[in-house]
Amino acid sequence: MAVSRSSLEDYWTEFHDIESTKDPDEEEEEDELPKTPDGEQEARWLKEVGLDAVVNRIKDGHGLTDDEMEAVTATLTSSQAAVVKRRVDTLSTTMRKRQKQNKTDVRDIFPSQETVNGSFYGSPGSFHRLSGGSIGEGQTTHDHVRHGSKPKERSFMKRGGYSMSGRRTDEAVSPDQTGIEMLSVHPKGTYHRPVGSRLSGGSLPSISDHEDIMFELKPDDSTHQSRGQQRLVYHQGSQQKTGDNLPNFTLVHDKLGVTQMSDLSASDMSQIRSLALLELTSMFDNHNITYRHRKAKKRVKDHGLFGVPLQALLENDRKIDSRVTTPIIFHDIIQFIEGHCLETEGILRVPGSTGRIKQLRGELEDRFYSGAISWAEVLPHDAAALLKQFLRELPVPLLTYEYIEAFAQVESIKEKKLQLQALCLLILLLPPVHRNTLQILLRFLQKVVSKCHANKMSLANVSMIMAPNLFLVSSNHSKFKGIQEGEISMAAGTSNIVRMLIKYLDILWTVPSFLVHQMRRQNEIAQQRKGRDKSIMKFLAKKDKSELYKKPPIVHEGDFEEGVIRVHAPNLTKSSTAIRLDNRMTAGHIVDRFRNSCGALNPANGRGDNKRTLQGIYCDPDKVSFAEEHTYLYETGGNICERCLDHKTNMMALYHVNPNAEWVIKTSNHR
Amino acid sequence: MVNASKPVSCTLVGDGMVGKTSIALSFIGKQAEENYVATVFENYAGGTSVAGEQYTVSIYDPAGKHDYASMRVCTYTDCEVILMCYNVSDRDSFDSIASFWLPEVRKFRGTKSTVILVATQTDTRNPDSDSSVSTEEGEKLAREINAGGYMETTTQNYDSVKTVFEKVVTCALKCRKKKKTLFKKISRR
Repeated sequence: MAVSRSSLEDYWTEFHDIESTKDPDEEEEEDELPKTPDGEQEARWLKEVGLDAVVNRIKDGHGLTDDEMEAVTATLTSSQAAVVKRRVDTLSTTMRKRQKQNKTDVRDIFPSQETVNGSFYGSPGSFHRLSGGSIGEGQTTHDHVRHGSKPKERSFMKRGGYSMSGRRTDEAVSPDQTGIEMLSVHPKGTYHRPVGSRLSGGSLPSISDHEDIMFELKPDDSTHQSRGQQRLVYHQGSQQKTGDNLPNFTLVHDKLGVTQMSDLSASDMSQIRSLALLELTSMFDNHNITYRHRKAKKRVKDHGLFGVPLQALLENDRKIDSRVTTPIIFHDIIQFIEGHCLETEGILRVPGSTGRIKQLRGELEDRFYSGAISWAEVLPHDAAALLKQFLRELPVPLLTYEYIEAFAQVESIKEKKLQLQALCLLILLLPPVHRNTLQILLRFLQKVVSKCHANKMSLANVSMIMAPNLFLVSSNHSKFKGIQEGEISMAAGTSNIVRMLIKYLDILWTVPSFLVHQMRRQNEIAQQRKGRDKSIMKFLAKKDKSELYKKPPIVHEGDFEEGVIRVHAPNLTKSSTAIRLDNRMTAGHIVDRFRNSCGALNPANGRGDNKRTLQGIYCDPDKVSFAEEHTYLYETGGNICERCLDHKTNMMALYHVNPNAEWVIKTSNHR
Repeated sequence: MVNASKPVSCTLVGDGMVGKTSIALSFIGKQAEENYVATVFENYAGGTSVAGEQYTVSIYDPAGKHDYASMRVCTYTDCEVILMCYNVSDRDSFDSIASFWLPEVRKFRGTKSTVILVATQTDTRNPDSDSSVSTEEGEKLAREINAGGYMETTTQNYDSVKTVFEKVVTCALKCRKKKKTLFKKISRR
């Protein structure tokens, strides 16, 4: 790590130098924002994280009471809550100004009782965190940043005027200065609202401030493990000799199973998405990073192949095959290059012949769906050029207008592990079709790099070539004379991002376990609250997904006892089986047991074994074919909608986290 | 007569992997890297003497073709001579000169720019292969596009690289002279 960091340091200093000289406008804009707040940015953000109700409420001219605010932020960590709070404050300030009515605010009547001496972040919550014995490298940096040791105080830090990018400094607020600032003082790093009654089976362990949970250097926290929850940890390996200057990270196995992005149901993913946006915003705020949403093009083709949005392509393709997750044309081009051209020298770099590419493209547009394309005569470089053209001409770029700048900005985070985390959150934020397409693209690029001895396309070369195709550097050459320093640094920065995306592909497509955890928690609380507090529920109406998670009433059969689960296998003839869990039983074991009972005797141990040649298993009367490698145990209901379980998932641990779940054996197309 | 201290500037263009960076590196006396490293943008400077006078040649080396196009376009306005390169054993790169590079240069520089056509990697030429481009074809293309010259080069032979850049200097000087006489004519009136 030390090696990579120091070698990148020069780059970063230069990057920042360039950045600071390049964009004085942006800096200005940031500082001016609170003076002329229109609140739209905040409103849009709040809506995106799923708090539409709050926005409507504020726009109607109602403030939020302490209790309501607390209800909204109850399931958030303190840093996430602070982020929400900041936006809510800005928005309500704006709204009040706009209305020009000097109504007495609820918050003026109920001043915050506690004094808020400086420690907005550094209160018992962080004590909890520190005492947890998990002071990572990143954490110390973080605390440093957080404790407001910012040299210049922002002039707009008054009456709750925050910019989207502004960070709260730790000013001591005098008790008589009643203002909205006081509202958001959540002295806890954990969830603010203690769960009143214990959920049946066992509640989740509280989540501490998780800024660094995802990236611990060593799995050091024994308390967490004893509670059956292991953090998602990355081991940092030694520097690889490939000269790519990137440290090797490996994903440390999580007892509850590694959750890939394709493992969760759509509704779970949208909930995770909101959390990811919160988390990302909080991270970017901490690093003072701003990004703009690029402007979208207005007119867009909706038929054809090139220049058509991924979403439209996918919708068309789904009429042909309902299971596809990426546009067929893109998939086919990649498959062709993978099959025939991986070892071609200079693949992706050598441009091919303009004339032939034009012709090929015309043929594809005309005849692709009728299947009359013979790939046999296509030359490698032409296919690669076509792939790049496809990406460049997407009307909505692969990284989307909303987040393309954010992806580029990740480069300005200095800690590699935090960069990784930011990229992971950004990937979660992409629409599914974009995420899937990016994934197959990166997997393909990985394969190209793996053949670099033959094709001369090393990780650095591939990244450098692909960066402008993914980040679509705008060509504003008419305005400037000479070469833009900024453009070169942009090129270096974006190539670095592409390098990381390719290298850490598998890690990046894993849902951080703290997000899964937080989602479970939110669902549990939503379920609890539903019965308890109707008025708050009304307030949270939009977020209420408890219907989805409703579990059929437990029928107290004889075999229902602690540590015994019922596994359903609707695809098999068996209706359900009771299985007593022991401490070492994994999801893979359970899947095996079903195989065994169907006649197969293969003891599978985990996903690693999937490559074995396996014949389908025939299950008695109905002859249901069960392609073994695609069979997984699913966790459904309880505090999650549906999740496909990694074969290594420890069932006892998971059972304690989600005792109300149902367990179903199914086949998966995605794993 | 001509201000010799002002460096002569040129830009290398041509498809990816034809060996633009190799030529430039070879000219300034560096060994081209064993491993291929794709270029985003580089700037080199080397010295050469023409007619007893010492000149500095500064070479812009932008990325090939579509990647980083905007960056490359900037260099067109800054340079006096444009070196269009193709690989003699890659016909696609030869075709690109007429179909892509010339139109692009014309678009940003107008028709008056000084272009030198450079055939690279002549050591790899295989007369029996279809994809191989012959000297005659190169000379023909140079005439058609009204180039200031046609050069063949290989980094295996330093002299062939040197002559390319000597040609760059003579072309640039010719161009400067023309401008100067034009200026004189106008000022005399």
